[in-house]
Amino acid sequence: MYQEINDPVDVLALFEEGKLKPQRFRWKGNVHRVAQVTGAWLTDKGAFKVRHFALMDEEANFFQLAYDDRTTAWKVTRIWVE
Amino acid sequence: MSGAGWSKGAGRVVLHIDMDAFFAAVEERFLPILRDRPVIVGGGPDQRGVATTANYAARKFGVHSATPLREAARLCPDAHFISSSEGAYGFYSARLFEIFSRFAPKVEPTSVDEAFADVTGMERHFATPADLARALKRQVHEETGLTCSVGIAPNKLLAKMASSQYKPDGLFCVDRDRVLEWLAPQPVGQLWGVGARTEEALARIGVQTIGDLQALSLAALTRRFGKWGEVMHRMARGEDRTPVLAADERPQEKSIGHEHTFDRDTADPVLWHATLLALCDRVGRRLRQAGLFGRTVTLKYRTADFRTTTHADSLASPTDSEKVIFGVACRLLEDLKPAGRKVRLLGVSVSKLSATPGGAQPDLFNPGGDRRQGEVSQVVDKIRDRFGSAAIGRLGARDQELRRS
Repeated sequence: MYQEINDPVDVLALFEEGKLKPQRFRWKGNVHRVAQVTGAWLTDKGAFKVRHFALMDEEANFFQLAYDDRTTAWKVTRIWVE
Repeated sequence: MSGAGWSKGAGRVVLHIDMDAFFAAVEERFLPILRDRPVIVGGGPDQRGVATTANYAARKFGVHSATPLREAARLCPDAHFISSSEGAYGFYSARLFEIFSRFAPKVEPTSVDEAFADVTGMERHFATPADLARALKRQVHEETGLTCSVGIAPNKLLAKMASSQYKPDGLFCVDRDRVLEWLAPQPVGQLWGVGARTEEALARIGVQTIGDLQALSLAALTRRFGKWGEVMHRMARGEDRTPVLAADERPQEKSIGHEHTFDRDTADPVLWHATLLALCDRVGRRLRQAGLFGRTVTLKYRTADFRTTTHADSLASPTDSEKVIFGVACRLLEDLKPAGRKVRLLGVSVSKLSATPGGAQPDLFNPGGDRRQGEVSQVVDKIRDRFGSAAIGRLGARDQELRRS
């Protein structure tokens, strides 16, 4: 099941070919390397956008991350717990 | 060319595109480990809502859209229950409709995951309608990772029936020269609008299949079912002239409304009013976004025993003000006096919409008050346009929970 989280997170990301691509993130002291982005979508927050990412790390853990264009801050929004 | 090819005369070629278990498929895309496992989208197994959708693995256990979540948990205890990923379905839906529009001059959305497309005249680009549909399906899969089922037919009625023939990831083309034969063995319930009650009424006169219906005369059907008999007579022959309407050709909405189901049934009038205020706030904002004004305010409430009551009142002149709508909604709630009873759901809607405001009668005891209220609403709208709907709210509105719902 998903656990809803709303934690700030440090993310290392690339801006490549006009796209934002998260590569690694540090959450709760652990560094997770992104193995695969399984989904990416945008939501509107007024005139600004929030960029959402569904991704899997190299240990096959699933996360959802969100980047807020206005605050330029990243958050972990969800994690999958078996 | 056969009856499954492009129409040679004035006939149309219509597609019905139906995404396969859309919400569940989006979640499976995000979380590939869910593939082949039963997935139910809509909330947790102990929540009181209903399933938004279930994937095909869960449907085998009898879980479908609108199955209560607790019932779904009983039917399929091993299912993965998922609440929706914020905003994802709207985003993927917009992408899908953008893809559909590359293949069809006219696309009519019927929901976030379903559309009709009129592809008449596309024969210069594709050898057959089936080739066009295959290309569309391929493009949808390449760009979104999702699958859809497509029905091809001379009209919307038949296209919709065709898309459900081979789900998921299906494609079925109705041969326009063999429509009657194709329809004949199918149960009457497959026809648009023929629900359980009509099915029962038809069964009483020995009609089980569309073929049985075809055998009845127009006179016999209208004698028994009136105008509806005439419609069924046409549908049984696969006749439907309803045009495919692009989004900007569709008639204006007849009403704008919102409703809210409480997490727990409540008899607390303070909570009722706070909820009404939040609902009216959303209705007012939507009216202003659409540039519309409404004249009739309807309040709906459902008590814990699932009895639903609606009560409406009309204003002297149309409004887009949440304050005015809230005033009427509170009065209606007062009139209905559900006091002491536990309420499960509250809803507010505004109808008799027009694009012109009424010359509202000024408040004699607060001259200029309505104008100021209108200005406040516009400023609030601007703040929300820039910073999002959560940026500002009315004190007292039970807004946080409503926004999540």
